[in-house]
Amino acid sequence: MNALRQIDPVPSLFDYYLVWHTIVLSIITMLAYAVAAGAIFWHRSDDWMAVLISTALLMTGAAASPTLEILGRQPAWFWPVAVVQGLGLVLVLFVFYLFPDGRFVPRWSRSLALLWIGWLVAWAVMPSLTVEKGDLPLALRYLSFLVSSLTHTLDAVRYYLRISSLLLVMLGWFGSGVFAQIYRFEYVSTPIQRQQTKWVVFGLILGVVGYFAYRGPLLLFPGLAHRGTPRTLFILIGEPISILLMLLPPLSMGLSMLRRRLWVIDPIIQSTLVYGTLTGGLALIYLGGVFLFQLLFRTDVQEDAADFGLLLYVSAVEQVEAIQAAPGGGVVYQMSEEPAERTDFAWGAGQWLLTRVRDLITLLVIGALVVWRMPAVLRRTADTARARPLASAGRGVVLLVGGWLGALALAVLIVVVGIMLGVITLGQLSLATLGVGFSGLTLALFLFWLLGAYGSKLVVSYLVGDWLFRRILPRYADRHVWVLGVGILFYMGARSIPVLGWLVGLAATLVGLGAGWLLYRETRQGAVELAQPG
Amino acid sequence: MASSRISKPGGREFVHRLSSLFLRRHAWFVRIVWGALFLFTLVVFTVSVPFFF
Repeated sequence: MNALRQIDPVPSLFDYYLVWHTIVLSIITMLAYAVAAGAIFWHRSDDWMAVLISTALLMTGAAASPTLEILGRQPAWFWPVAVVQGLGLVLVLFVFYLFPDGRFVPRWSRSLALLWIGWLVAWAVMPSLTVEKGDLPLALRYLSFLVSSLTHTLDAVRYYLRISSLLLVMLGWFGSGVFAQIYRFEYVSTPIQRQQTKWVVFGLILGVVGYFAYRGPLLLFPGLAHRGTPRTLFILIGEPISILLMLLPPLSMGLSMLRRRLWVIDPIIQSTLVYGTLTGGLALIYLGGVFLFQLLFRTDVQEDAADFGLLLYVSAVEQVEAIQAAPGGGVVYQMSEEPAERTDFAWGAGQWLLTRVRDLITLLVIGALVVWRMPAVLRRTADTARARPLASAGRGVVLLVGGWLGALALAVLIVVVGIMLGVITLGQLSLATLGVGFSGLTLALFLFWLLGAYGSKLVVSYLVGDWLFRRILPRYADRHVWVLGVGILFYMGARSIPVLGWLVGLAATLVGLGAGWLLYRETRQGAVELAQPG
Repeated sequence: MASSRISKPGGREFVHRLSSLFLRRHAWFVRIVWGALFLFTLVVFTVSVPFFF
């Protein structure tokens, strides 16, 4: 498996150019980092901080290279790549927390550094932690049964979550490193230290920005992950800029050392010795852990293994000759009988009508329930939406985006905690965390979806119905059921218009959700004011 | 001297002196270990390049 084949089975000349482009830039980066590392070590190999920084530069320069990710997929090279990437990531964060005097500033960065190492170990060990369906708690097993037809989509979602969680955590931790350097520069460093470290701090921060601003979108946005003009443009423009920014840390380190007499003054290193040993120890535990897990979870198929089962082959097209397997029980070939897909107009119109009617009935049923159980809430939410439609829509946007992002962050948190617990061998607790966490999250998301998909539409429908009744039949304006029923009919009518309908739906979702949020906030504030009079 | 803000001079000085002493006394050992790491990293990177095609 290599980079070109991943993009397309038949690479074009331009694809080769893009690969060369990446390789040349990677080599330049690696050379710059290696030269700076060598120079720093050569000059100051008697200083722990300089040794740490030179090692960090060396490993990070290699670890950041996209070529290493491809090599890591080769079983024979898994270990060396894991060592380089793991050490590179850990050491560069230590540089952020310790540079220039070897003390952890701010104090909490010490705990974060330890957490970071634990997380990296968990991340590396996790691929081996495969969970069988039978081991799952009942609720999760039921869920997995419900979605078993979506295995492919689920795998894609899992991969996406894994990549985005890695990026989010890395972004969080490196963000803390950048913060630590800025904090130290502003509040802790002496004027001389500031002069000596100014360019290094600047370089380190821009290096991190350069790395994430380029790699993040490539992994996260589907439009950039696959071959096409956006990806090509992004690589052609983004990669050189990213590399230029990433060249700043080694350059600024080297220059500061040579020109600003960095480390020529006597630096006091307290923690590096202790934490260097600790890093080494943890690296050993990490290596041991990966080795152990590989040993435990390896599946071996013996060379003389035989299959005596019956092969049942079902296909829509004739492929008898394509079957190579010859199991002991023989092969049974069946043609699948799938109904041809209907494409005529009447069929399409029927399907469309059916969907609309289904939506209408769902809205009417849920609406009836809401009018029956909580008519006051519906009326007050509709009043809020009428009084402040724009404020409601704004809150709706925030709630919609924040809700999904919050859910994503929660999912990442649950996964991270679950993995952490799993790594420290509390497997049962890990499964319980994942089970309870994801069940709760699923329930919360379901309620949120229910509110967005139906609740908000009911609010807007009620608003429309109320407006109509007040204009035409003011005598019946207090009959909630009729008001809502007529409102839903009008809403569904507007919703059925091809393009405009989609906009109507979006507006209804935003205004309805936002109005509900506004009402909830006001009710809570009222309750607080009542509880604390004066 | 720029290395100010020493909260615990005694302990800090001791650890610093110890680390410097170790690095100076075992300079060759440190250089060999670091050199090996340097070569190892460069080898891993160099091998990774042809795999990228």
